[in-house]
Amino acid sequence: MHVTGKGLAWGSALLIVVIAAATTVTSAQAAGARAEGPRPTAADQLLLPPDAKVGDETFGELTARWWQWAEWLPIPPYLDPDGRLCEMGQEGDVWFLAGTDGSFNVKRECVVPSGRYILVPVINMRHSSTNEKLPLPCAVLQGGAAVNNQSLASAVALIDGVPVTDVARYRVRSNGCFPLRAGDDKSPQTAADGYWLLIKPLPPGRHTLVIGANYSVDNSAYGKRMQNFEYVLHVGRRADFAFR
Amino acid sequence: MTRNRIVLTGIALVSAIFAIATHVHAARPTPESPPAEWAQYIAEVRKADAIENDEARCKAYPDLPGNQWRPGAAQGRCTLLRAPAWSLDDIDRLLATPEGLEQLERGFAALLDGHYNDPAQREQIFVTFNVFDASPRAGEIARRWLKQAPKSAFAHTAVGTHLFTAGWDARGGAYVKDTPEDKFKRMYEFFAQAVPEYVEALQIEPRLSVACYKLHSIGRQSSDQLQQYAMSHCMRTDPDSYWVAWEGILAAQPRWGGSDEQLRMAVAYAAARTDRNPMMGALLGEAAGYRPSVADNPGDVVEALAAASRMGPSGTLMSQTGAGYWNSNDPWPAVVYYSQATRFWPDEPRHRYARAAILVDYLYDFAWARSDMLIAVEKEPDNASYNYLLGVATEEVKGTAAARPYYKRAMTGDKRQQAMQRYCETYMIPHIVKEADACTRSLVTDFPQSADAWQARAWVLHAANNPQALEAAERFKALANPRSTDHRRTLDAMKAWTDPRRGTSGKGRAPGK
Repeated sequence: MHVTGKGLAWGSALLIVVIAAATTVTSAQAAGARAEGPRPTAADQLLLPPDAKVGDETFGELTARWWQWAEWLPIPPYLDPDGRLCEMGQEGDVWFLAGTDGSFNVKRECVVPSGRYILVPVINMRHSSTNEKLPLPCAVLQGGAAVNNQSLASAVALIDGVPVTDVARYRVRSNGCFPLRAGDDKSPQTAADGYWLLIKPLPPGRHTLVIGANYSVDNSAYGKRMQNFEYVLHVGRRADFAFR
Repeated sequence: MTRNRIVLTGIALVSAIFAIATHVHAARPTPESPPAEWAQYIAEVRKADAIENDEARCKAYPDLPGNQWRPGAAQGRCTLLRAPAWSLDDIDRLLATPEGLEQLERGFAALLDGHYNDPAQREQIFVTFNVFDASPRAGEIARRWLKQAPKSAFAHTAVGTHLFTAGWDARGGAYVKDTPEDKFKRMYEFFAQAVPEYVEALQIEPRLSVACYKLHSIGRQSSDQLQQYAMSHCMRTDPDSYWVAWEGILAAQPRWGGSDEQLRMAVAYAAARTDRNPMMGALLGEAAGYRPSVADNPGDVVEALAAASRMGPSGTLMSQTGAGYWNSNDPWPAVVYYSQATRFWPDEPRHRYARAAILVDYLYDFAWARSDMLIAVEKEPDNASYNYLLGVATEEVKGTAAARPYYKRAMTGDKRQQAMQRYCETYMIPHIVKEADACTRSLVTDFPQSADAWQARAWVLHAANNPQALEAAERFKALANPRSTDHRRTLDAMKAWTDPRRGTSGKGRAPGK
């Protein structure tokens, strides 16, 4: 399974303005080159670079752990309809958010404890070795996970309404392959590849996150998938907030 | 050879050939020379068939009359018949010393460069790796190479190819639904070892498209993920390879999960590249020929097969076209197309057998048939049908004694009765010799319901003035087929010595003299 999304929601006026200003991502940009030109926005300054670490974990290792988290939960977080599943399985310094499986758009509302980094996929893939009789080498799985990510058609991210300048810069691959179930080396070996945002701890209060992206690959599984989701994040203690 | 002996031999032949081709009708034209439209072509085919070297023979062969092949397609395809740059013996010898190992590595590197840069060397690296077949010796040599050169992409590919071939051999060629689970299990065991070798080879030398081509073949059978990985790599590094295009065409076939539309696109891909690699032209009939090639009776679709054959020089399509004409009782076109099949697949015994059967059955060209069957029997020495037909052709060309060993080897399975009958008759034609007694005694013991067996036995006993000849004759009469011309003649001839009013005669010749 892979995280996928539906078509971009064009109803928001702000979103329309931002989309009009967004740069279409090319393959070259998808390779990770930083675009020259505009000054970093406030949103850019909230992000860790692809080679960052949080504690002892690299960005790549965090994406692997994200997949283990997403596939371990009894209900996948990318099917969460409104944020009710936000707290499930969370541990450590990094808080995981999820996109969708591509079949729906979603707006979720979550409480995030203070001081947590936030890892969220913009659009991503994993490839796992599924045939026990023919286990595939990591290089093959990595190649498979890379196919769609080499053809990112568009990607937009807004943090508190401010666009991230170059989402394509944040292409991150897992460090080699990993077992899909944490601690179980007999579980399918997996390679992950995609576009992610690793957000520094946000100050307490209400924040918004809007993400839209799509692949454009012919003759590839999930080659035309899209992501379109939003979060309202309440950073701080739960008791500080009231919910509808 | 007397006319009556021809009748005896001919009838026996018809009996024999009936088992080979159930389409044989009692009455059919018997031209000995080809029709005018094929005469020049057949003359050139006979001349080319005399050439021993497969590549040279193929290049000397005339092209299919009426073809629309792209320039260089057939000649390019012929280069795939070239002998590998090194045999297993050569490689074994080179691995004996460090200098030899270095020479081997340099040689393969040159072969790889030639594949990309020298049209005369195109695809030869694929040909050379084929020496690493499924045999234990090939596996031992490949592994020894890898042990001596663990960072060699070529050594990894050699090991992978041995395992790859062993895996396909273990699976066999039947459809999935007809393949037992234990064969698949064995296949996977080999493939699971082959895959990491090829992947490692590509990590070391990404241009080594033999590895991604083989990986794609494994993936086509076993793993969509692997198939996609492999084709993606091959397309990036070697988009103009005949073998890569061929794998793409195979994967596009409906039987491998593709579709007619995907198959057309895959062939169009090859068609767009014939200027860069002319041998791609050999693939251009694959889309048009696919549906006819899977028809139950090629005779029903022979025109479509012939049309596809005219698009590109495919030995397989042309063998199917030959089968179609054979099923339609049209021997000369069948010979024309089967000849092309032997041109591009000179060592495929089935094509040799098919052409030989037509030459014997319809055209009485026993010498030409014999030359085909010598090749077929060399490839499959224990094949009863092949040995039987070689016996028939040899008997006409070199006499009964020369045919005897082939009939003897053919005396197995479904062919046993026919082959034994002919075998015993070699002791009766042109004269009955002493071995005929024991042979025909065994013949009627093993096949007591065979009129032909009792016919032979009766004559042998009669020639020896053995009173049991009458009983044998009675057994023959009881089983004889009144609609068989041969049996009626024998019954008439037997009257001379079985009719009590006439008495017996002690002539020791079989009917036909």
